[in-house]
Amino acid sequence: MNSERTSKTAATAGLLAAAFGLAAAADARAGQQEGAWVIENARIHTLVEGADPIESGSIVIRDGRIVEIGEVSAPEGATVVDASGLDVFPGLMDSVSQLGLTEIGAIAATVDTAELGEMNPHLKAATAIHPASEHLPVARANGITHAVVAPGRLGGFGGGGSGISGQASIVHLDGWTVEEMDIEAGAGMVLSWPTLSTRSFNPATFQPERRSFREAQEAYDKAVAELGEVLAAARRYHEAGSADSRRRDVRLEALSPVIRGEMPLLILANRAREIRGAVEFTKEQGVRMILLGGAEAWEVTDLLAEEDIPVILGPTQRLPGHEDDPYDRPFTTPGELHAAGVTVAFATFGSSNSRLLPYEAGHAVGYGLPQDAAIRAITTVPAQLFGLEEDFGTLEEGKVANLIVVNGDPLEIRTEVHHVFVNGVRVPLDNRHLRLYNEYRNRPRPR
Amino acid sequence: MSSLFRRGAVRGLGPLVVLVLAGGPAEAAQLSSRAVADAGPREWAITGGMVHRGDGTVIAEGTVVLRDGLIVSVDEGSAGPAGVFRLDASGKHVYPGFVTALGDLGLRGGSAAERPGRAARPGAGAPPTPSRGPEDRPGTFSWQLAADSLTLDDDRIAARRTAGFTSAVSVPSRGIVSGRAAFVNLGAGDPRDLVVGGDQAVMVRLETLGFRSFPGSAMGVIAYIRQLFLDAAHYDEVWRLYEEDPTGLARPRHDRALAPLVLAAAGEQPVLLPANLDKEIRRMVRLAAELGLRPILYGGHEAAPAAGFLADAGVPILVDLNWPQADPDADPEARVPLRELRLRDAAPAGPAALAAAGVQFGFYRGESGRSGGRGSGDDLAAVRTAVERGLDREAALTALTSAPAEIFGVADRVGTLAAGKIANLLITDGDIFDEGTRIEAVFVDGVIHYPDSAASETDDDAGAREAPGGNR
Repeated sequence: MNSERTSKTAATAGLLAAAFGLAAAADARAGQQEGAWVIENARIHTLVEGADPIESGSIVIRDGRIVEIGEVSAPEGATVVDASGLDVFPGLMDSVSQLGLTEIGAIAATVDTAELGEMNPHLKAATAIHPASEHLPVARANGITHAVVAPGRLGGFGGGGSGISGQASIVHLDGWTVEEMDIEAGAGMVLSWPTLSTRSFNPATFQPERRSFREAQEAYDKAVAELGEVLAAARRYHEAGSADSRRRDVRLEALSPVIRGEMPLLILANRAREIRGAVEFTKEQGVRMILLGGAEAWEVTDLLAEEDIPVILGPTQRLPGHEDDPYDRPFTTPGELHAAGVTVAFATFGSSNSRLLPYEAGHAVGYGLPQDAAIRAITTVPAQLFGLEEDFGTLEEGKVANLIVVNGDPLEIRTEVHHVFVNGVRVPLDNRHLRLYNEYRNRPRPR
Repeated sequence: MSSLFRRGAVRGLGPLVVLVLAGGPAEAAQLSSRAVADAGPREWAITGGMVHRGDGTVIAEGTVVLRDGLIVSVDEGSAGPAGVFRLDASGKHVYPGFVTALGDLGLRGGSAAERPGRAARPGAGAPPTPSRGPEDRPGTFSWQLAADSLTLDDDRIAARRTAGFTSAVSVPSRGIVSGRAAFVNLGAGDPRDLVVGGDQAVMVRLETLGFRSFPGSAMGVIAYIRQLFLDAAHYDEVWRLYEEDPTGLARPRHDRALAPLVLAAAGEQPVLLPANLDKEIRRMVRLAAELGLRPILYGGHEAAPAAGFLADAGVPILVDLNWPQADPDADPEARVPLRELRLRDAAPAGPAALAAAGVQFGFYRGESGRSGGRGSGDDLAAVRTAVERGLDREAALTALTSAPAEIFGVADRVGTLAAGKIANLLITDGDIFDEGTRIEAVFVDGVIHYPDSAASETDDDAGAREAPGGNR
């Protein structure tokens, strides 16, 4: 990301933090305790395939990992958390977010989501994540312990254009530095699939524009062909080996893991036709695809199931995309995809809304998605999609201790989050929302 | 069917057509300069045709006699006077000339209407100073008379005439109050001779002026229209008081935007108001009633559900023949909203509902883009579509002739075939609403124009052929 902008962003973010957060954040950090933890008397939902919840058990955490789980006694010196009557779940994972990249959308200096240009595979979101973002404690307080942070406009204001916006990074939602937060800096290559549209908005003139379908089709075909050329170039670059005399190209180098099938292409596409185009493209190219967005994925469920393309659904708590759609079109989509055998994960695609992740899944349960699949869609499924199943997604010995202690079903809005552990440490639940809540609750009242 | 005027025979008054017996030199000397300019025969007897008078009556074998641009007589079976050009219309149909009841015909030529003021749209010449409120009279050109700006340098005139349209209501098409409409004949010659009525209605459009200028929103435009007509009524009041007894009174300021709106504000001159959908129709009628205006609505693609309402309100409407339809350039996979599909289906059935409810209505062709229509095309074909969708043929004819003449206050001059009226008429080889019927001759102000062929409405040669014996 452009250096001038980054420094500006950092400076402004610093000011913002100084203005309304620094003291509180410092206080909050003081509460953190290193060392061993034990959570006792909990109902433990391990989410291990085929395993029932442990009705009453303990979890021992040391050095960031779960070391024991089940009927175990507290090791000496461990801090005890009594979870009688409470439930423990794996920490929730927002599969696509912009946490840490943007603070206040209307203040350009705090927005560092996207770089200029259409081909930026060498960018990594982690570079721009602001660890002191006010949105992180807010999301955390609702049980989100780690998240995929994706660069690009993700279909936001201005349409965002098409192209590769960079590499998504997976981070813990806690840490003083990006390095502390880091889980996987290069988790997926974000590609906004070209849209075939006869209507567009020209930000330069601030006017809507129309073009004929033929022109739109030509532009689309050209954009897809260019993507193919980029991957072909990356493939040649990769196959040429690492001869020292070669001129290095960080863009093509960054695409190597994609070519090798080690890094998935996270393809943002919402219209059915574009989803079909993206599936066909990745099949031809022999690369792995995860569909992001997928507003019209319900139209192509068979294709997605057949080609085994997982879908990270865009926010489903929204209005239908077409005026003649039923009101619950976005709500029923997750259940329909699941029933067709498509792997579904949920994501908020945002920063301030990341806290709503459990309700994305919860709402889908009300419209046909099985409860079990819904909770997995924000825990185990994203961990598997990004190759993190060794460390995340379930509560098992040896896994990273990202977990939440709640008083019920985390998908229910009324459920309260009592404790959040990120990377083996219990994090404070204080956040800006809570501070504002208390401030206004205690405001002077007329007598 | 044999063509009345075969190609080739048409030019220079073919022998099939006429029998000449020239008038005396004294009579020729009495010709007005206009008749000389138009040239061609000035007296005609059209005999033997089925004459649709436009008032609901039909004469099976009628004779229409024209002299010097006027209809002298319309009667049954007479041979007409001797010594005139005679046109045998046996087996043919004779109709009053059609009226296209709104548009900017004759205003888009080389010398288009003056476009002054701060109301220009962004992108089409940025406004020098953006307007900040109603006091700046944004987009208001009420002093502009279409009649002052007419030009014949407009290809569309000949094309419309060829299609049977002998008159048009023309008004500038830019701004919120874009000007005042003229009722013009689509003839040739000097534009000053074409004006039938020069100041027939005030044109109001719902145009926003962009981001920087008031009004930039629909609510702003409506609020402005309300303020404008209230101001006009006040302006009238102030000047009346002053003129009654100016002694000792501060002299009111002249306002070129308000002065021409005084009649309209008093409900004495109609105001053209846009209203395409049912709810728009109802809102506009209410707005007009609130301000005491005499509305003529235009648009009317969703007229059917509002037909009873319009009949009760006694408000006429001009129906846009630019029926909404699929854009051939559109994305074939785009899902067209049901709302749009319904409108596409319902629009051509609107006129039938209006006729059934007793609403007075005319036809025009609106701008392209609005509600998906294409902006050009065959007006008669569009009327035929409405006839197929239940519009009575006689009602269709009324809507093309006498209704617009009445709506715009010139029914005493045009709109029907009756003695003393302007000789605007057309002759066809069959019922005008039958598919394939050809227009064989069009008279405008008593001057004959020969359609080239049904298929070439925009033929560039049309001008060269239209006035045989003329001076072009």
